[in-house]
Amino acid sequence: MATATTIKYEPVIGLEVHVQLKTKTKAFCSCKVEFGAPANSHTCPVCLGLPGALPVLNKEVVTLAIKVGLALNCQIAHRIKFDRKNYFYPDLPKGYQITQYDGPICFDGILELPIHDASGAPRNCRVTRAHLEEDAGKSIHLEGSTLIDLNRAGTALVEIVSAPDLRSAEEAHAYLTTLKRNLSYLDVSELSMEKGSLRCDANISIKPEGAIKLGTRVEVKNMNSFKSVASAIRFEIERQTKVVSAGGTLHQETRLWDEDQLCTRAMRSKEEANDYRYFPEPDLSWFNIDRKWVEQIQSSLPELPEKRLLRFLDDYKLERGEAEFLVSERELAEFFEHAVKLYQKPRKVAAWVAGEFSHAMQERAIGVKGLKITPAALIGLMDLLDAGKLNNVTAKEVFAAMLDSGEDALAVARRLNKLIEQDSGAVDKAIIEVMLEFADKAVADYKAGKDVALGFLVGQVVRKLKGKANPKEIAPLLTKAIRG
Amino acid sequence: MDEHTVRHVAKLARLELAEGEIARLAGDLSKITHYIEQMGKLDVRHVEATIHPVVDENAWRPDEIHASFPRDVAVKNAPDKDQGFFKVPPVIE
Repeated sequence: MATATTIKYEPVIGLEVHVQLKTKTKAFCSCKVEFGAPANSHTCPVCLGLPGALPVLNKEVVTLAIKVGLALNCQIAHRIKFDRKNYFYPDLPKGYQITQYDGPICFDGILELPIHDASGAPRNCRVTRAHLEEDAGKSIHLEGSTLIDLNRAGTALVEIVSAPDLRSAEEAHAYLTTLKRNLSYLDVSELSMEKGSLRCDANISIKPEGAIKLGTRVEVKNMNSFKSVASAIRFEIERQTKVVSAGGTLHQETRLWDEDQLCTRAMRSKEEANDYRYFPEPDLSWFNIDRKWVEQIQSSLPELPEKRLLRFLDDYKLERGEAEFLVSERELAEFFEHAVKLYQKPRKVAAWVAGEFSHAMQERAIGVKGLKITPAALIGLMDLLDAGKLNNVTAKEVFAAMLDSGEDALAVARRLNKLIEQDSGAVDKAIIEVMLEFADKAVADYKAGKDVALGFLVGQVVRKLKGKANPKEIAPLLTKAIRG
Repeated sequence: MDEHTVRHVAKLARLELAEGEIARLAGDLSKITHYIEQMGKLDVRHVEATIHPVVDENAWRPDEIHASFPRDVAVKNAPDKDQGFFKVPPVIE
């Protein structure tokens, strides 16, 4: 008989992602949705849960939820209803949350992840369901009291529930990145974990490798970035494996991720086992989702990233990694395509956008929209480079300045005095100076057959000309001068 | 319905019941649930579940902002408030 320590365990992970929908008003009342507004400035009898107030569904919420479903390759329900989930918490003034229990608006979806299994096949994760629900308010916990702001109470959320198909922290991270990427194409949410418009909880269990039956599930909450989701999963797999390997038993519980201590802790709760007593929301009747409506929404969607990736590979012959990067954000992909229309060398454009351009975005921690450069301006820069008016180094300097000022390449190159002018007098003078300065060293080395010395000398000439020279043009002139 | 169930439901509903009430309610609630259980004898396999008694489908509204309560009105009836927030006993000890 195998002892406990010889058993290998396999993690089983499912994720629940809450996405706040970008509507003007809340899900069931006409209060404005606004992040950071003064406390309780956007409330009314419905979202305060005052007696007798009745919810009325915001149609836009349904439209956006259908978009989410389509982007996750889900089926869309023909008609929907809502249910009450009953529990007491100060940020939930009605004493119940309006949600969808047994009839989600979207179901049976699938996401193809940008990772592959041992056989090279892409890994998929099924999306069990995506349902509509309302958000709760915000609590500020103070010493001796809790303050409640109900501006967020009643705003529309879509909760996206994955199947327990994920097997590692890396796969969970890939799922979240792919999910966020697909949703970013739709413009249905701010998708900011910082602002709480994107939230993720993880359900984690382990089972002996190959076993069918799932182990005891632990829900982990309170992660504030995709990175902390991955860290929490890694910690939890290790913790559970240790407990079970030592012959212990796991409890079905909710644990909180502690970002400072990098561990999960059992949540203390006064509530006994979850007993939400779901029942159909009597204040809302059925809603029909007409197929024509769904088709209309489908045809209004932009080309989604999976499809766009394949097209980029086919049409532009890009490297897979490059293409994956370009489609990772809708604005990035669109910037690239605009640029390619103006300049017929897609791989060169891709290299710039995936290279300098993305570095600049990361450095400044802003998106494409934050950079003040247009596709036409980038192509203007590449034209100057092609015409030999800039070299690779000065082109990057000009590019950096363009990002901040929004000027075109020629204007920036002139302002920074980087344009290479055909001034043969200055070039000849610089070559002679460098030859005199390095006569004993590099020039002698080159004459002795060390070809690498030429690169150094070219560099020195370009430096003397303050970068306003094209190394490719300097090299033959220098060779000629040295050889006499 | 036994007394244990009554206590559980009372706890979920945040109801404080005296000992005597629990026994009485267990009896009363049992009578009610037995009465409703009579319907279990009916064959309703081919009847669609009634989610809502009112056939009022697609009663939705456009995404248009209407005025909310002024802030002082929103918290006016609160037993305790602080700078426009509702103030409640601490949730986390």
